[in-house]
Amino acid sequence: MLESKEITKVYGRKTAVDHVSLKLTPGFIYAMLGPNGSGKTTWMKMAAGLVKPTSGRMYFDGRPLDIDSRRRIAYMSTEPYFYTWMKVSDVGKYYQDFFEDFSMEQYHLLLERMQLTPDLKTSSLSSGMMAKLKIAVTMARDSDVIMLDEPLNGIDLLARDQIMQSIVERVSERRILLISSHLVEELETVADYAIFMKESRLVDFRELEELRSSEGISVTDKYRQIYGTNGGEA
Amino acid sequence: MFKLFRYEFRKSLFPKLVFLCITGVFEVVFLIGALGEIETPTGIGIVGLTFAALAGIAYMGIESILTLYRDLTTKQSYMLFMTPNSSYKILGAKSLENGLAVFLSGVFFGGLAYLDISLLSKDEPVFKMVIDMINTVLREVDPTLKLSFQTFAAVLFMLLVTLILRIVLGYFAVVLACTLLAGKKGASVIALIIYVAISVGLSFLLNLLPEMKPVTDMMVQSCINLAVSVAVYFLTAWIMDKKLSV
Repeated sequence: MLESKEITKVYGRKTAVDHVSLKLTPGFIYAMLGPNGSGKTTWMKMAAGLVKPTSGRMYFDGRPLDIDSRRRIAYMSTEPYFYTWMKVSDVGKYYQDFFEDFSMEQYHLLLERMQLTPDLKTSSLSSGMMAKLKIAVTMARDSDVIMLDEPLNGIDLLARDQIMQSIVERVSERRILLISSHLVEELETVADYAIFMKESRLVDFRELEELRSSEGISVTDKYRQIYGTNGGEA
Repeated sequence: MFKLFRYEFRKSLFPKLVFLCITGVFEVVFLIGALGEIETPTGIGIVGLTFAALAGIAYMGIESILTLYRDLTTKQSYMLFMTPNSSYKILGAKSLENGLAVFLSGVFFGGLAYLDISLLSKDEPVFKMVIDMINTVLREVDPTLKLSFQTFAAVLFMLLVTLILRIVLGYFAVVLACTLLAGKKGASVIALIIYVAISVGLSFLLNLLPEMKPVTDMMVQSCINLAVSVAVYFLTAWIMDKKLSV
């Protein structure tokens, strides 16, 4: 279980995440929704241990997040982060060197699906190809938590289908899948829960089935309700 | 830690190759002059090789500090901090790679200098020439100093500890600046100010030590510097683990 208790991150005068308490249990896909600057990325980075909270704490399986948690949490950042000297094959070797749960076989399978070849230099990849590479290397890990920050950014429609298929294939009873995206409709088809973030705060956390049955609306409608037709980016 | 070490080496491979190429070019120029007994290329070769050796060793000395700065101020930091490695290991791998790079550069340039001097000195024994040169330098520092095993060991120890101290102080300055500024611009300037301030402060404190014999003085200062290095290393790693956001 991944849990944040009253977690807050302040950068200078700006509060990026404001007292967010959230509990994610394995076996489900969670869609983290909200416009830019709502705190999604900062929350994920705190869960990945990259950003240290100003106050509050992040827990994984009941224990405060530590170095060891990184063995079981896979995070895909929205920005490219590979060393510029690396080829696609080097990225795989790097992950294999540091993550015991990384499968080179799965990596090559995903590369093939994403139409990437191991000899490509990461510095020469287009933004779409880079996004596919980040997804391939992250999804090749058999970790307990997979967090994907804007995985569909810069990706064409057909490739999006392949990515969504790869995500669904990784669903397991022991795994938490957390995906943030502006493309609400895409996530609606696969997600079990929706987490709505607004102005650094958690405003709603709903099971999708329950949302549909109790309010009779889709996630997209709920998104419009929360963020407004002009303010939202759906 | 070996894997981290390997990647640290790979990150700094390009500048190392550049210095190797520059050295190679000047060595060829020197050999043309020395073997053909032509003065101008010999002179250019000697000056060029001296410059390459000094600049090369100096760059190797600060190279891992620059790499750490780049690691912390770009998104490439995720490559390091997403992995299940503690900051102690990350810093340890960086220090080890840097120390080894400087040591091997010293051995490489020293060996090359020995071979080149042998070529020029012809019948005169090279070791005697080198020892005479070192004694001349030592007498400039202190008239009572003469090259002995003790002095040589003390100087070597002092150089090694000074190098370690410079590296860890550099790491500390960079990590502290990046932690305080949290991604804002100007971290490099702040890091430089922190580095200079600590270095000056430390020199001031070491100057307060009572007068001692040169070799004893070197050993005492080196031991203090080593203790400071260890303390700064642990403090830096603690800041990285507990406070630094990338």
